[in-house]
Amino acid sequence: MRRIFILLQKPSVELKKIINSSEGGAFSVLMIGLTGLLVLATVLFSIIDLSIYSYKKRVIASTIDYAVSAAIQEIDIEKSRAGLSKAFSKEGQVSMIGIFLNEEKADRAFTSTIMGNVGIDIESINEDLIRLAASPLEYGIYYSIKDKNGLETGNADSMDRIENILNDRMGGLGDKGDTHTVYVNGNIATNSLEQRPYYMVFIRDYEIDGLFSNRKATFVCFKAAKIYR
Amino acid sequence: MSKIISFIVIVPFMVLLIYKSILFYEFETKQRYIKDMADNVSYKVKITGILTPEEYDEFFSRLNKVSRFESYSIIFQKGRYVDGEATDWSSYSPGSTLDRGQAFMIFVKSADVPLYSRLHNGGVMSSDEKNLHFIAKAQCRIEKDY
Repeated sequence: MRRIFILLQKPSVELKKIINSSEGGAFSVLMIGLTGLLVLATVLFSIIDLSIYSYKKRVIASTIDYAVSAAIQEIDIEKSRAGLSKAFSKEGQVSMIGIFLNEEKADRAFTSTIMGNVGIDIESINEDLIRLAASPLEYGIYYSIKDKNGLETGNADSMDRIENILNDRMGGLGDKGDTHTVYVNGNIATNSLEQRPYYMVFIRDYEIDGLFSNRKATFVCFKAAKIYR
Repeated sequence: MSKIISFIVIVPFMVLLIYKSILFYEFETKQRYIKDMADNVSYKVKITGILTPEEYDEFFSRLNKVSRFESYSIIFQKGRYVDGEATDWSSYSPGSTLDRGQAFMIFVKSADVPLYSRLHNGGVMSSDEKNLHFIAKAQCRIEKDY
């Protein structure tokens, strides 16, 4: 009776032979080198990608600041005549009550300044944009909030309510993965809203192109009007 | 001997990659610095309504420490907001005062082509659009107090 044995040799044995060979070993050196090159390239390109993103984010943030500063100057003189006529409040401070923004012009000033700085067309991010204008009244505040779902105007008890109005409105933008909450009155010493007209902008998850990946950034900016008579 | 040949293949790629990264880092750092300087000028004018000739000279000399900038590389413009649109742009000369509500724009572009661009494009391209320059722009609205 004859027995046949078949010896199966693992493919890696041949590879090991080549690598451990004292005659050359070029293959192993090449593989190690290529791996090192790949790791180095991945690390460096990731750093470059992140730095492009952080630079662009910073430029957009400063642009939004310029744009909101431009928008807040659009006071509706006709609508604010009564407010402007009262120079001082009972406490002797410059009165800001009954002074309204011209929302249409404020939005245009915002858009135009953004376009002038970085060339972003606001219409292209309309899906993730909320604009809010608020004005103090004798009792409470008047607000106007606008997003892709349309315009909503109303009155609220006090300026502190703006935070909630904005956060409530965010739900209407639809789910996009991350949730956001804006805290304006988080630190009363620094961020509390005063009795002044405000213009506020919220841009959710704006996509910023890096070298080979897109990252998202959310921007919030608000500014109070300075009124001179 | 064959190991040496392998090194000869790999090492130049590594050196090129590291060199390009260093040049990119230099380009990016300078670009951030120039944008910061342009923003500083813009904020100054936004708050005060004026860019004094002394401030302009300081800005110009600082820019030239980073790269070569000529006087024509720095553009100042003033405009006004009509119905919310920034319009009527004209040249602004340092020292003149802008009123509250007017628009101001600064644009700077380096006269020299950075090393990163030269490496990336294999030299200075005849068509300037393909060259990377240090560029910064800022547009704001004057909000100085009366």
